[in-house]
Amino acid sequence: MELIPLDWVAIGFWIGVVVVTFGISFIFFKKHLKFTEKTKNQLAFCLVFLALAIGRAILVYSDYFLTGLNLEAYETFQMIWKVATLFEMMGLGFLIIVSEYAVFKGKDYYVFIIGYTIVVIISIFIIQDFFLAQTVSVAAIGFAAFLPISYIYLAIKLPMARRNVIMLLIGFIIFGFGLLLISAGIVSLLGQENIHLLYLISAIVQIPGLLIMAISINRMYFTEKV
Amino acid sequence: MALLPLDWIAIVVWIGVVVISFGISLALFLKRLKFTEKTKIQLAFCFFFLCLGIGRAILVYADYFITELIVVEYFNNQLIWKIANFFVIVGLAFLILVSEYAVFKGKDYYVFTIGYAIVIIIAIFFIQDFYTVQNFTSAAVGFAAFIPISYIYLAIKFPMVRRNVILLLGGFLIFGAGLLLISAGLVNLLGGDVHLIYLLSAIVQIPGILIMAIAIKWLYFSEEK
Repeated sequence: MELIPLDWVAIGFWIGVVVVTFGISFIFFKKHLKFTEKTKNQLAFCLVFLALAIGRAILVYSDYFLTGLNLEAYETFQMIWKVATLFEMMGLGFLIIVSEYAVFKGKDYYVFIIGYTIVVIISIFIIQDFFLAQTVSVAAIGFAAFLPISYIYLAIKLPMARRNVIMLLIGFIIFGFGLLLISAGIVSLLGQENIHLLYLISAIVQIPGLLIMAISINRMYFTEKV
Repeated sequence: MALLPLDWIAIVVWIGVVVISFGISLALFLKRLKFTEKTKIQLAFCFFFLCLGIGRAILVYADYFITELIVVEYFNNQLIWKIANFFVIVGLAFLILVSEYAVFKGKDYYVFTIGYAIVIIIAIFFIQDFYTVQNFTSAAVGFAAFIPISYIYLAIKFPMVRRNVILLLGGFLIFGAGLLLISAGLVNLLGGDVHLIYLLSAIVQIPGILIMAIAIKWLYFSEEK
């Protein structure tokens, strides 16, 4: 059934509802919440772990109980994969925005986070073909390569925080390695028959990565001494 | 395909990943972020509008471009419907939480928010049949009936903010009427043209949201209060 002209008028109004709602949220966030830079960073880090947890919880359910780690089944359940990936990407997005601000203080017009967001939106919402969506979402992770580079830069530039920044870098690399292990490309390379083992190793690798990141973030952003 | 013993070990470790991530987030939120009560309430309202925005954006896409407002199509595409409603419902949960705190100050052990959350989790994650899911989400909205009742109570109890609370109540009722218009039960009851009902709902919701935003700004975001 084609959309009738009345529907297009309604879609216009519904877009109005969405824009008004987002607008109010944005105004409240930006103009009325008088947060310091430190509090904003703290909030972003809270949201990093929250988004990662929600995304991973959905992925555990879909990987094991919907698709059974069968690559062909992912196409059938691609909507849930996309939702979970969206949360994971949001988590990484918060991490990128904090790092980008720490390095450029907004002078680069947030080019990395904007580029990352555009690629994520295209891969999750616009592309219908599952394999293409996966490939584009990996391209989004390319923007996340900014993270370790920014940590190296900050470690060089800020000697006082160097130890914690290096710890964050190591945690991120370990966590990122765990994520990469179960990316479609690596699974294809190492063979579908090893997928069950790869998923187990990935989880085992991610836990210390997350913990190391959390400890260094706690020391850098949540401790009064810094 | 049945899960291997290795998979069950992996599932346990993955649950560890999830619990640790949630745990870190919760520890940072609750223990490290020293927000005042007012800031927490402000943040809750920000998230309320953010969640509504995300949920509605997904629903517009699902309603018009996936299901094209055909009831049968909702059965085939119930996952996207569930996700969108999940966001809208989480948004409403923030509103319930703030109202419940304003009335009871935590003395009721957040029974409305917890009841609401339990019904939602059952509806969204455990029930597969679309009609039952819809009925359950309607039951959850029943908990949201606490919101207008709490506003009436607050308007009576606090004469100084009465005008703003009544404004908030007015906005919520208009917005709620817009939401109810497109609920499955009412669409069936009213019959008629579903396309027109959806248009009317959008037209009704916009002033509702704006009135709520104005009232919330006066109540919680102005220095004078």
